[in-house]
Amino acid sequence: MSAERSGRQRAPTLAGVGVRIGFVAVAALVAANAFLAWIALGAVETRLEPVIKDKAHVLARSIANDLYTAVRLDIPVRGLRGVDAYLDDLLTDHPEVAYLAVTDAGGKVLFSAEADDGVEVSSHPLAANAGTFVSIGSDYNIAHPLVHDGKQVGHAMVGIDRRYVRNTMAGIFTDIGISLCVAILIVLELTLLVLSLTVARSIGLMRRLMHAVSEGDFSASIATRGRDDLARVIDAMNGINTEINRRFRELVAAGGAVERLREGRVFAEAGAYRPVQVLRAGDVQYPLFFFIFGVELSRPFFPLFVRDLYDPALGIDASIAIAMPMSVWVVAMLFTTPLAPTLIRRLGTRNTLLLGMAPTSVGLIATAFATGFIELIAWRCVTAAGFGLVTAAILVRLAITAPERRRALNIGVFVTATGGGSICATAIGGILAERLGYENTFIVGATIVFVAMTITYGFLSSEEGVGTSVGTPAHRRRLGIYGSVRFMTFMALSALPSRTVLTGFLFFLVPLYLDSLDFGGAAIGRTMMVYFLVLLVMNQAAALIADRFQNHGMLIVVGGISVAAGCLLFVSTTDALLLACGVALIGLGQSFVMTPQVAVLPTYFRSETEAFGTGPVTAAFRVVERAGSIAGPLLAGSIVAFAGLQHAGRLLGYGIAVTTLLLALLLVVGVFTRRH
Amino acid sequence: MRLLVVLNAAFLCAFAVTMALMILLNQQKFSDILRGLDDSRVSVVTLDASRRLRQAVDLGLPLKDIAESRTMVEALVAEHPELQSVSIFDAGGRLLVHGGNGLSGGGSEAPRVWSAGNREAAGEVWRIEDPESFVVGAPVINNFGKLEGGVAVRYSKARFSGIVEGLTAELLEAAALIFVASGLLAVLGTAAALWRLTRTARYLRQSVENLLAPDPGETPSDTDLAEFVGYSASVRETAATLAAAERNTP
Repeated sequence: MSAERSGRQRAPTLAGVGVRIGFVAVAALVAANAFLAWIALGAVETRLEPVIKDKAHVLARSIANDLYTAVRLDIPVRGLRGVDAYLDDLLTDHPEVAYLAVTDAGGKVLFSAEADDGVEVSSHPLAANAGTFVSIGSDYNIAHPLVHDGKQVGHAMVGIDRRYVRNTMAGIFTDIGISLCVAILIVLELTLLVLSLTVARSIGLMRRLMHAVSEGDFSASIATRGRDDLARVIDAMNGINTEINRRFRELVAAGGAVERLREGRVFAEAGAYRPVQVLRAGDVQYPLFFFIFGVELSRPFFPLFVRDLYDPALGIDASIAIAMPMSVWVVAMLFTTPLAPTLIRRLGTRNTLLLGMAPTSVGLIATAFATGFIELIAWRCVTAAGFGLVTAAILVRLAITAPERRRALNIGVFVTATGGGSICATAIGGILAERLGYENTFIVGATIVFVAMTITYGFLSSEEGVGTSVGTPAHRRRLGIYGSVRFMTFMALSALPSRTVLTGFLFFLVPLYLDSLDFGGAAIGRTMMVYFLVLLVMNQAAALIADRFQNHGMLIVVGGISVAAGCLLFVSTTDALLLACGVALIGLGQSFVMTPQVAVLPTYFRSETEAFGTGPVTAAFRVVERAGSIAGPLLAGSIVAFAGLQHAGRLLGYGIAVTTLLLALLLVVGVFTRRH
Repeated sequence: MRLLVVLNAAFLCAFAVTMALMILLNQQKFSDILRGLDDSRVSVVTLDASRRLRQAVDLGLPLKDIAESRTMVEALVAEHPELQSVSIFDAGGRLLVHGGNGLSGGGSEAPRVWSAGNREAAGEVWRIEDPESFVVGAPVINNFGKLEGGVAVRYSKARFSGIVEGLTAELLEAAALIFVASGLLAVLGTAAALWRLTRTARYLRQSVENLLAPDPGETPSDTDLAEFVGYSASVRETAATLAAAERNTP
């Protein structure tokens, strides 16, 4: 009874359970990895200490040998010239050394060279440690005696910075931190995935059935998959319907009066039950997250990978050749994207997604083993064809599952999954490429796509989406929009440059420029990740700002200026923080531009929308965007070919600035806002 | 129970992948540092030997006639047991003095790559790797800028790999223990988080099962499943109507 009473307390909400489980998992993950990092640091220090000691001995002996040349000629140690400069030279070659010193027999420091943050050599009784290896302050000190004719005439001293190992290992702490952040994101996604797959789905189905029964509909039933507690509740509810229908049918068979019973009620009179289904936008969020994660893993190093496969015998300039696979990718996507609605209608959402993911996975593996440039292009086409089909199918699925008023929320599911996947992929992709190599990172990407396939298979039912039709506008009507000068001017000054800068600058030029500054794969990934991070955080904020101020044009202009400033800042600096700021400005600008660009279409092009319909206008916008994506890398590659990376970046930045200012001018004049 | 298993299986996979990445990163960084320190130490030894030989050739002696060479090589091999061999060779690649383990080809010639590396080094140290060893060399150039020959020091890759493997084994061992502990923590934490949900589900099931009983009792006032109130009312009303119809049927 007491259990029942306590059971009547407010039940835990699903979000609350999710937060608690997510917290437990993240806490366990962080604690485990922090502990492992601490153990690793200790193990590394223990192993490196004797190696550093050996090195210090060798160095001290080497200094003593050099000085001995003079000492054996009876030149007093204190009378030697240039020893300070000699010690300074040595110090620069050995980063683990805190100081080098030469003392007289009494331990007085005669010559010394100290690292910037090293100890004050003269303040330590160095000679007292001669021949031993002891610790003073943060340094290990080794002294090697200088002996002439059996008499000790001085010491060569070497101090090793005990923090060297710790400081050097700190270089991987950023990578570890990023890996951990990505792991936390993945764990949270997994928590939501499993909760959604089990708890949320079951509760959604239960609610549907309860609602149906409340309305007098006893003809429905839920197919349960698992044997958990919620599935048992569903079984009990199914049992109630079965029992009521059994009694109803017996009553009918016995010729009883069932008219009153039929009033406002529906029974499974023929014995077959109507299945209850819940289609939720979130169902495709998790496969999409892992799919994007797998595919985008090569984002931070792809141009560098292509550069390695570049063959001068093809007669194409290296920069253009590097850009080609990126442009070809968009072209291949264009071929499969329109197939998505038809395939979903015939095969269902699940099979269409699997049909897209399979060639993507195969394409990634084949890319890893590609031995030539042409082969690489071919496999990129296969990968992109799958990629195009999957992303289009997911957008169609989101459109099918959402009523009109919730469409924006469903697109939010798409943005969150692609954004989250891209952040994780660029960060981890760089680290993996640096540690495992480009080829193995592609294989890891293919494996993650396989995980996405498994989730898709388990999450979606095979019948879902079969027979669904998504309206597509008539071809003839759709093409008419390209004749509108106003529309095409807006596209040329806004949609085209924003996509060109994304593929041409961020995806093509940024990795090459960072590589030219000797950034490793992990550092390139970290820098590029900033773009996706800013985009994910600011996308919703930009939409809110746009809705609040109802001035989309201003946001587009501000976004364009931010992108131009980001490009110009990026190629004007070599400082890691400023480079990241440049990428952040590009991300900020893109987030300001992306949502308002679509939102202004019905307002700025009212007459065109009335003439051709909203669908064709939006479709034309997407076509121009794709054209920009194709042109971006080729344009950037061509400029790099004759002007170099830095100038190409500047030209792209100035180009964006010019198009944005022209757009601002046209907006001020009222070319788009005036009613036509 | 199934939910607990599925959730924790997913978490444990994520834990394992993160820890594997952590071990990989640490192992790679450690081998970079170790390699750098080993290389730097052997470079000091090699440059030292080269400088001592240079002092002798500066006096006009040809490299092959320097008596100190043999003792110097033997002393280096004795002082640094981790070195596989120390070799002095002339500008033509002829091996003049060799101490430590024999070279794979034997004979009196230094490997060609050594002579080539020595010629291209422009006075600095040069480095070569063969399947079993790392080789660090330095040219010997007299005070007229003429290349007299070089010194090559070989040290074992096996020792380097052994140290790295030792670290990897230690980290794997620690990771296995931490994995078990954190897995247990996750399982217990998840079980605690799911406890109320499971309890509510059990109570709900009991309530549903009792709906058609003669005395169904109270319905849950579950705010999360407000639909239950309408649901139970509909079921009871329909059951009552059915019962009435059954009573009136002969």
